[in-house]
Amino acid sequence: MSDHLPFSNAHSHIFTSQHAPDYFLRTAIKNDWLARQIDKMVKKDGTRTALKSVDWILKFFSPNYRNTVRRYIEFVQIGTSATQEDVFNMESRAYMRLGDYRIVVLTQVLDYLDYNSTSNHKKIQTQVQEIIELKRNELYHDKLIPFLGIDPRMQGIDLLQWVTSHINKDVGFYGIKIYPAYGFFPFDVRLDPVWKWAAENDVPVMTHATRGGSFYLGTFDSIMNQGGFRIQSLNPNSSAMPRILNRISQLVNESDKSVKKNNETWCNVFGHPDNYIPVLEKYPSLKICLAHLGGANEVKLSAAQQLNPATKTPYPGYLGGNWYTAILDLMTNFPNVYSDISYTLSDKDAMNIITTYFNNSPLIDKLLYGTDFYLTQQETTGDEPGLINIFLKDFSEAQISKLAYVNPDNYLRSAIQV
Amino acid sequence: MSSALLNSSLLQTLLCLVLCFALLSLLVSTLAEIVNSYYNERGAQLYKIISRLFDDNININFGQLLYNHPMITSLRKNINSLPQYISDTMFSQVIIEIIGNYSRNYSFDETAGAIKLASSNADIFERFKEGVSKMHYTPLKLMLMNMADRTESLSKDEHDRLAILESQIQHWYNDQMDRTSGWFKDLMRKRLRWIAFVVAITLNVDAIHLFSTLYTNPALRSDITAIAEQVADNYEKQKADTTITALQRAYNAAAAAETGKPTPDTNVLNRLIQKATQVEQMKTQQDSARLALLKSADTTLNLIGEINFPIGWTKRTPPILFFTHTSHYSAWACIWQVLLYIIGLLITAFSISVGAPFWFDVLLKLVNVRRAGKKPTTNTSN
Repeated sequence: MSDHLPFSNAHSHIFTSQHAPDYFLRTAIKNDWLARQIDKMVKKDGTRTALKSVDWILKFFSPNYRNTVRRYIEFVQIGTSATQEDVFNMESRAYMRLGDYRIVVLTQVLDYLDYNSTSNHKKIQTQVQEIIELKRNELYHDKLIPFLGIDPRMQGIDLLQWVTSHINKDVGFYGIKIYPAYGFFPFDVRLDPVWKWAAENDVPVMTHATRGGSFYLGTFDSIMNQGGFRIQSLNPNSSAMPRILNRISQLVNESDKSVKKNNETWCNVFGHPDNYIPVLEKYPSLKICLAHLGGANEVKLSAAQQLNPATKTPYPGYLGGNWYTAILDLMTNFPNVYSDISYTLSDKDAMNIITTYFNNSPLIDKLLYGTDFYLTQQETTGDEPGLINIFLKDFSEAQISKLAYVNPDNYLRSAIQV
Repeated sequence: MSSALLNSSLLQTLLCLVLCFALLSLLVSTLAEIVNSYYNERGAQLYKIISRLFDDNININFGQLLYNHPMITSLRKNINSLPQYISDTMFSQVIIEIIGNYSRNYSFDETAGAIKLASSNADIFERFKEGVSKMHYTPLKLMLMNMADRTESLSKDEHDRLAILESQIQHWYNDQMDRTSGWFKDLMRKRLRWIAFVVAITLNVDAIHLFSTLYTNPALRSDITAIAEQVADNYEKQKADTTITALQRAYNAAAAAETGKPTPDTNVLNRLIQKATQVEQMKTQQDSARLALLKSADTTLNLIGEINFPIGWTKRTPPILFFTHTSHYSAWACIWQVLLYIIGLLITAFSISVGAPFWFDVLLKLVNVRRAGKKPTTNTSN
């Protein structure tokens, strides 16, 4: 069957630094002014030349460290490309040798990363319009499979209209992308009409599901309203809502400031796999991919906890629970819950655990190949040819056929895009 | 003015001080240009302004899409740079085209398996109107609609309408660009101040110490005065050339000065700039302008090094002087000395941030004033 299907990467990004807010580097650098200055600097040719000089010097003094520097240089170079087309071309070059291929490109709403900061970046409407024009370009029309970024906080936009006007054959979008760690819950009542429509039409949804990655960058109070946070769930009677509400309330009342002030930690609450249960209980047929299998750390932690149940997580109890096993449970309990190996693929140890587990699991039919290009570029084996290589070596022929050919075809096929 | 005053120690000291400020402000201006070229501020600012013209947070930002248009991408120096200038004609043409394209209809062709362009209105003006009507309602949409209405009320002819619409968009664009130029000047003023402050500290130029040393050292004053006159003469010659910028004139005047002393190689900043020059040489073809600026900064630093100004981090200058001085200061005297030193640095920073052309003009005037009071040299050969 796979002979007639293209090799599919189900998870990649081609947005550039122009699409991210000017303060986006606060993900790694706390100081706003410094983050904006570094953001300006990394976009300059002079910085690239300087980094290349460092790379050249390291060739003589520290070849190991040189590899790390080179990976960051490549990451910066890709991320600061002038257009999304440039990035897509870079990614495509890695797949040309594999025969027919297609790449899922995820647009992402990056406009609400901090309610209190302003930025002059390209907003989601412009990001999406660029993709529309790329999809029309005959060079890419059969290779590029775009997913539409949505966020319940999008102002002035009727979400259902936004989705239906883009996910159709004439415009060319295939599915929906959400990123709850930016500060919303997937069970947000504003998303209800979208999930209903997606479930009815078998439209695929992709969501970020690791504790890491980028996250809401504003203050805790700006998003949690100093504890006066109002939850409007699309399914208040869901079996998971009590423990979700308990988790939120514990966070709001958290006395440990190191937890409360650490955005990465408390954004776990938004992205927790439990948050999809109210949606899936209401729309059991919803086709949704919880990406990354929870992340390499969770995969490894799960294996460690199996060996020694006393192994502790680095999170407070109410944020704990293993995301890898939670995602496997969701895949088991709901017929259309998928996951992918993107980003996690760059971690050798995690991949060993995953390949072993999926050798004997029926869930292999709901696992997708993906890389998370180009965000993996920072990892040791994170460049696209390297990841393809790992995938082709670590998985058996039958698994490759499922992950890269058959499963993506099932996942992407909908009543709208056949 | 009496001859005594014109040849006085005070005037000579001022002349030396102005030469020092002129050269340092030349260095500051050159460094500011290097920073500007590195940040491509003009290109980035132009992008920002064009983005803001169309930023209503709900519609597609046509200003940002403009940068993907083939006519604009061809203006880029390299794949990642932004064009420093977009003419009003090009801006209006491209914007009308982009908004017009937004109105075009596309549909999936089952046979070809691809999205194809369906029939569209052939009239560019009408396409523009349809594109605007597809936008979400915001003040921006209303403004563009009004532009189209005004155009229609002025002419019904297809070609005239397009020309009128272009002209309206050009006016709008040019008004915004005028503001940009004011903003850019403000930014440069602030940047010059910061760079001046960094230069004053890095080269340790305490204006008060500089003045007092020059005033009490006739031999040093005499040496520097000769160079000051030479630089002023060079500058006067350069002023005749109206084809170059004021900064370039100042640079040429300084570069042509002969001190008769070997170039010192002890200045750390100087060496750093030489290294930077080597790095820049690796990509000369990409940016020869930046390399030329680095060389200018290098030359100016060399000249400052050749002239024996009482500046730099030496035992003869504050603040190191405070620790090496043999006599003991009282606590209050120490505080007073440190305060004077800080004031001296601030005076220098403020002075050298006003721009090289200003100080070169002052230098020229002072030299002329001094010469006006000099006795004519007796020509013994006659």
